[in-house]
Amino acid sequence: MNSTVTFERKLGWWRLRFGAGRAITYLVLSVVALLILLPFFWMVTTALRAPDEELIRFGPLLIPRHVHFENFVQAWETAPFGRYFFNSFFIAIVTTLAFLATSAMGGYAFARLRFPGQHILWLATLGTLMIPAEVLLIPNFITLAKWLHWSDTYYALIIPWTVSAFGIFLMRQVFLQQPKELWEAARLDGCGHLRFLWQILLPQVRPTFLTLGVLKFFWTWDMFLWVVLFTNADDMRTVTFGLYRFTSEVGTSYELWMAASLMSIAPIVLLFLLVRRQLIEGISRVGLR
Amino acid sequence: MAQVLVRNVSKHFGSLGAVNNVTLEIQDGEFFVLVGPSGSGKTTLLRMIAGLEEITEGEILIGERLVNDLPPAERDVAMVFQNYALYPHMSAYENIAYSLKLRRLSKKEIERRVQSTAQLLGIKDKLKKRPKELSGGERQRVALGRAIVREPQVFLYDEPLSNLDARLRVHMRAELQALQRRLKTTTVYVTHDQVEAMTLGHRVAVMHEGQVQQVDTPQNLYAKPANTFVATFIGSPPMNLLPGKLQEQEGRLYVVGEGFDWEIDSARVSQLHAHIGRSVLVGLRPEDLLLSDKASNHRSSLNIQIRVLERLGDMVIVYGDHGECELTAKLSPHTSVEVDQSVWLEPRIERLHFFDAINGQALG
Repeated sequence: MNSTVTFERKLGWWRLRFGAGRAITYLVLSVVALLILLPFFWMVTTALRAPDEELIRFGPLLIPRHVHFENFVQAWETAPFGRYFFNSFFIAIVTTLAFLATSAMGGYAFARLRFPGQHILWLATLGTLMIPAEVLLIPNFITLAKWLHWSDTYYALIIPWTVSAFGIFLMRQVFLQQPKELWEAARLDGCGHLRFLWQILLPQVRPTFLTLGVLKFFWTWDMFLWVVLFTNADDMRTVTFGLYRFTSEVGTSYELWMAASLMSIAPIVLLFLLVRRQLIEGISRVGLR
Repeated sequence: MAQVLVRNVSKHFGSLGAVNNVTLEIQDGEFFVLVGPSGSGKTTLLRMIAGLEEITEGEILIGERLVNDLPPAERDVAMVFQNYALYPHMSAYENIAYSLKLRRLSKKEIERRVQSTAQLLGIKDKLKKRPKELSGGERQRVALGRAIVREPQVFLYDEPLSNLDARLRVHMRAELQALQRRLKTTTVYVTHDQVEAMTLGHRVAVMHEGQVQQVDTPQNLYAKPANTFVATFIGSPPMNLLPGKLQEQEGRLYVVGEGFDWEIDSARVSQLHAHIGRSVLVGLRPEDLLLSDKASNHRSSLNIQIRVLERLGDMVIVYGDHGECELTAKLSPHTSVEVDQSVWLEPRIERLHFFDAINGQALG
């Protein structure tokens, strides 16, 4: 009898503890979600605001008094956004595709092939991961702009970003997890390395491969410093550079800036929504953050 | 269909010799089994025939064609892997059809061949399913289908049944046998399971430490093992080995050891005569030891105290120690013996095996 009472007390305590624990978890998650969403909300409301309305207010005043959709039209007309969008899309798509190809093939070579100097090459590839991108800016600038004269060309905006140690590293790791019998079965079926890579191996690691592609697209789309460094001509610039046009010595048009910002992130948000499930699966599979 | 010739083939991984100077002649249409414990080199040898492993020394010929430098796809062989190695993203149909597609066969021909293969293996209704939707046995059949559909000269099996449960394994074993009889394709089959080897193979090669110990029919492997390794590897429980000495007394040949003194039957005297005075190992199959009563001449029987007793329904297996040797005997299921009981076992003298005590080779 006594032990039953004790047991029930313990059970009650556990329920309370886990009930409270769960509530705290949800509370923390909600606060974090709010913190993440707030800038987006502020961006949307600012984009719809009149130019003379105050930017920072509290409470319900965060909602604009009047909705001004014409801000989007005006923002679009402030700079050649048509051209910027074309450039951004062209550069992001070509870079992503080329990057996926080099990552897959590089990763495959390190995972499956045996060739002289492989170990040293692998160490060198990993070594480039340790170098901060900022350190390479000036050498890259000299190579591309001074030696190759690639300023104001798509070459400068695309080619340096088509290969990355990170992509090769990631693909190597996921390829290594695949059973070697798949390659042996494919060899007996008559596959060469390239066919095996594209037809057999890549479909096995699709979520990771897709995630890598989507992340690369995001990174390329967001590229700013590189564009500033290598382009002078307006018709070579991208959307992220276009956003810079709303700030000048005489002030910043926040409502137009935010309207343009919204337009600039729209393709990324759309892409994210399209591949959301596979992206999450891919990230959780490789422990990528 | 083709003959497979393996001539003086060796494989070294660095300084480690996985296969050492192996020569085999596998006949056209033969079901040939390579059996041996882990690390005996049997799988390496199979992989060399398949072209998945480079040959360090020697030659392999398939259908009179030297294949040493040919890539796997050009050797006209098909292999079934231990873990099936099916392509996970393809349906059973696509898995079976893939090699035909690569060979650019017409869609109609591919369809015809895949359907007839599926019919043969009884998986027609599973063709649309992906490997993960199939049971172990069905996956095994798809893997077989993938090999059969190519109509190769040689089938290579690498422990194909070891991932199946015991019951399904017995069933698939029978099916493989029937399939081979029907297709009459030369088959090389690797296993570590001696029951599989004995039931499937027309001939069996027993391998140990990279070398072939004996190549023979299953019956001969069992009845006339070439050395102590084969003697103890083939047969379950393994053959008992007792140290002894061959001695001649008054024109008769005896084998004398600890607690026994057996006269060798006249038919074998001439075979063993040359070894008189030498130490030997006497081999006794567990079923060749019979329960005897103490009243008979005790030098003809072996005394053991039963340490472990296994009642299998159709037999009773008893384990005990005779001096420093463990003895195993298969007795009739109706035998009334108990653990710790002391019993006398008498061998069938005509079924004794003799091996050289130093190199383990069979005598006579």
